[in-house]
Amino acid sequence: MTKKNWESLIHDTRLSASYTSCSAVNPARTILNSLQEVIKFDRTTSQPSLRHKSFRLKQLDDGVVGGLFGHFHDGTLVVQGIGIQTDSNPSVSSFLKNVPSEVELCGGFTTGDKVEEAQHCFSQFILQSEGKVAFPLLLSCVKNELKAHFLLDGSISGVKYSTATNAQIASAFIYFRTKAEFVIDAETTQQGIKVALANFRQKVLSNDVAFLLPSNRLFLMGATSQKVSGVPGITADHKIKDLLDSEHDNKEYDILLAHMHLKGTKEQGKEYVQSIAPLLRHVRRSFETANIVVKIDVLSQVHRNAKVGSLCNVLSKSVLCGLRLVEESLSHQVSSDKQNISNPEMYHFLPVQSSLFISAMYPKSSSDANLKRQRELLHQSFGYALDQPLFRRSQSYKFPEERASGGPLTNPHEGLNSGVKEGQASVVKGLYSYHHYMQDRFDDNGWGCAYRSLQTIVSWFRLQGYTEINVPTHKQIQECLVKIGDKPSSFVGSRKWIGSTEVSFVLETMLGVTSKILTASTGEEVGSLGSELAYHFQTHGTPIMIGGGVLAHTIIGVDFNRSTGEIKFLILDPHYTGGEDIATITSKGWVGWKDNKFWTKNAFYNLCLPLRPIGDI
Amino acid sequence: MGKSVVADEQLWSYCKQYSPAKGYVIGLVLGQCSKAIDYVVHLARIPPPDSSKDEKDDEQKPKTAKGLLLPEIKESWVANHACDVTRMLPGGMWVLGLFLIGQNDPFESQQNASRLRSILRHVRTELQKNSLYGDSPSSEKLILHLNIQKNLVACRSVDLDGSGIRPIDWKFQKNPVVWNQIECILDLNYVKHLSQEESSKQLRNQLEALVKAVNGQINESVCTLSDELMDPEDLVENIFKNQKGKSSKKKNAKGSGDEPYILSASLYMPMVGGVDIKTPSGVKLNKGAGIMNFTGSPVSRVFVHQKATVDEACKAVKQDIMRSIATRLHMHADSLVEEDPPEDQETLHDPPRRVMIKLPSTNVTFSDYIFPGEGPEEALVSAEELLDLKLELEDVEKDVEISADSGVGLEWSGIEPSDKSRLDAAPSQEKTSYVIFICIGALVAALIAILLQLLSSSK
Repeated sequence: MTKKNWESLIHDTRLSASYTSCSAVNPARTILNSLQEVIKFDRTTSQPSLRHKSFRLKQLDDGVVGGLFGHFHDGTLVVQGIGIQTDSNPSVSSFLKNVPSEVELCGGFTTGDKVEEAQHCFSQFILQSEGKVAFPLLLSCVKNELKAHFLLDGSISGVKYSTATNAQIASAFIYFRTKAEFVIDAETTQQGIKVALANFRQKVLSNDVAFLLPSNRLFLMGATSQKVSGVPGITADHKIKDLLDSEHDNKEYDILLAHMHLKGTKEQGKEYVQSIAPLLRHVRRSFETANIVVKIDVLSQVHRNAKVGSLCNVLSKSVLCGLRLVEESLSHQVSSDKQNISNPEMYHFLPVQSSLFISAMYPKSSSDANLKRQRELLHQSFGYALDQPLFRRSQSYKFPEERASGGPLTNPHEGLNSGVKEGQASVVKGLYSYHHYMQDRFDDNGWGCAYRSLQTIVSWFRLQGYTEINVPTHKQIQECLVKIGDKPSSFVGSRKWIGSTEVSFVLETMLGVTSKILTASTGEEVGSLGSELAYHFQTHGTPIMIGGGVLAHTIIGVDFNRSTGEIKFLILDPHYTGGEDIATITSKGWVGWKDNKFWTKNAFYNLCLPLRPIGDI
Repeated sequence: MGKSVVADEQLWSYCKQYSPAKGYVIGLVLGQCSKAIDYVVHLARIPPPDSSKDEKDDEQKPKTAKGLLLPEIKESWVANHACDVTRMLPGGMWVLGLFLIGQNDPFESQQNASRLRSILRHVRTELQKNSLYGDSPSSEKLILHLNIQKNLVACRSVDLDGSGIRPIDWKFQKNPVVWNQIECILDLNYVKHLSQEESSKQLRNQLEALVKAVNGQINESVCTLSDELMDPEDLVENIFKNQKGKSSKKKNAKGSGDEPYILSASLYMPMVGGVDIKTPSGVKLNKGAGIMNFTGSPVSRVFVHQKATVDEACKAVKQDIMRSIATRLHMHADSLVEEDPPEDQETLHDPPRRVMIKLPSTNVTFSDYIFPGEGPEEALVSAEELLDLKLELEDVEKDVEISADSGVGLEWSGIEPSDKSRLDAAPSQEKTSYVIFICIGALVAALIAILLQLLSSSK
């Protein structure tokens, strides 16, 4: 990371001053994103994150001080996340290695009572951050009112801001995912790890690197020379967005891969470069050595209008951050358990509603349980409550190249509207995969709907990181029920139906998840469960299996107007027998909002509401 | 296809000094091949092994006399000579074939023709044994026959993979071939931990493993010319065309189009998808018995003909680097009298360094390697023995690489910090003596070379 000194701070201040002064004509924008989770402020939307927000609010007591992570480009500061100092991690600037390069510490926030106090806190905070604050923004939350200020020559002045959606963030930035792999021989001591990585680090520090963008074969060389080659018509002066074939479609993050290269030759034409005949040094002594594969996998967040020439430098910075994480992980391992060192692996997370990627390094052989302490630290550092997992391996962000094609669809309901007037929609939290008839080349048409509904529920627990077990097959489900004595052994391999109680048994046995069972004696009565279901989705957020008559369905949301009683259910239908085509599935209503007439009038209904282990991360 | 060969007229003059009364004077055709034209850079007579001494004794005597009949020419000494000479060539240049000076067309007799084919085969086998020195990429080798008296030049191409022999157009041309020069300085820093098993191996084997590892890295590398990543099919000269107007790197800005260019090459090792990375099951813990650190910044210089493609140029650069590294380490291994050094000691190996030899009437340079303690005059000896060139001291560029015998200017990354702490802790450090293997000098090298030649020729 480049060290921002006080001079650059003043420089930035001047920048801010210049555009606050022109704000009369063109209002300056400070975009606050994701902060709705932290500090309440006026927003005229009914975001599903509203409940989440209140959790975060409880967490942040008065007088909490922390840093703001954001990106400054072209007169606009985009604030994307917060960092909170903890006893075990006292410096907010040390979290910078966990966020994409180009995201900087851009200010501080306080939930303190008075602005003067806040200012004092802020000055303290800047001092603690060793001048690494790129932009002196101060956010204060006084009595749930959010105010933004800039620090100018020791005094603060208010500044206007607006809030940004994740879609706006996605359309402002392009992400680069840089990879580098190499093998090191390291002595199994902390010093040994350092030495083994030193050569690589030195190369990166002295700009002896290049990056190849495989998507268009652009070659970025030398962070200082800003040399770009390989694609006719693209020069260092082009904008990053020129590297993309098509315009941004507003839905997805644009992520480009970059492959790192290490320069194996010396820069010529410089006087001090003298060619030296190689020497070979052979040291004989015995020591413990480990052969470790180092895989650097890091992110950068770059503004679309930034220059292509600046990219090499940005990517180098991200590699240095990754290297620091690798070194930390390996040093920790050699000092704790030398005999079981395992290759550190990088994971990237994008918590729901956030636009700030958070990266972590987990040793390959460590179990999720062993990594709990590390996850706690991430929760605390980035101001997330400890009520649900966010940084488990299975929750890592799935990059386009990692998304399995042909597998079940994830969250096919997204983008569907219920149409209930002034209703409050509560839907499943997080990700699930859509399981239905005929998948996995298995013909269960006519009998497997409850099995499929169960699979969807298990997929939710899997994708939320609560379990590492695979989604069970029909046979595994049957074997489980036989094992616990619920069914005779002839049940395995049969085409017998299961109901919501069986679903709850299997969840209990396989995942240790308890479920609440609700009943409705008629289809009509299901409509009266509105507030109960809404509460379930808000607190637990798991998919619900409902069985009645001969059919089983998965309920993944409810939209309910308390005063009119109008209610709609978001139904994921396991009876679909076609391929994984989102257009067909949504247009033909295999996933969609259904009114109360959807339920069979005279059928008796059983609902299985799986309860998530709240507080487990 | 009408492939042809071009050579400088100067080389015709060189050949004219040999005109044996009977038999042939034989030598190597050295140069660069391309799709359409083979460019000859030098012709080097192979001195008959037993006559080398006589000749030195009376230098004044014209070299006209001695010719050998084809059956008298041993495959092995031609092949050994070809190997030794290839070591001196810059990357991208090879032994293209043989020349024969004599009065009779060697292809007139079936016996002679098959003899020549057998010699060529032997040369190829010998060169392929060490792939790093390299056999030329073409399976077609040249046999040039010169009849000085009758002013006859006849060249044939012999396909070693088939049975074809076909005539090929050979031209001694007035305008010299223009060679564009490409330079680079390798940033070498290879660290390897040795297991007990590896450590107990002979140094020669360890060096071989080292050469192989470095070769892998070099081969995978992306090569840029003049900081441009070019299409492999593009012509090298286009780089200059693109650069015109900018600060050009021309040797001297006289502006004539045929002036050779000098440009720089850079190598970038890809860090993704490398060959040595397999999906690991876990971290392997070993008992280490030693560390090898190969460090330095050897120089590389290659020459490509005017119509060379980027791909040809980049391959030449990589080949030059590997040829040079392999040559140094092989020469070093050959020069060692191995004795087991005591435990817990550091050995500093100082392989021979590269010097450049200027060829007459072209900008092309060949290489020689001189051991620590040797002077540039050793390169003159090699030039005469192997290239049949009588040169002056000023024709040797002796400072392209500085010798690093004291370790000055080298960083021992990969070992130093841990060593320092170790040494600080142990005051016995002073006892750790550096054993520097320095060859006793040219004598030993020359003796070994002569011995080898004698041995192989007496088989």
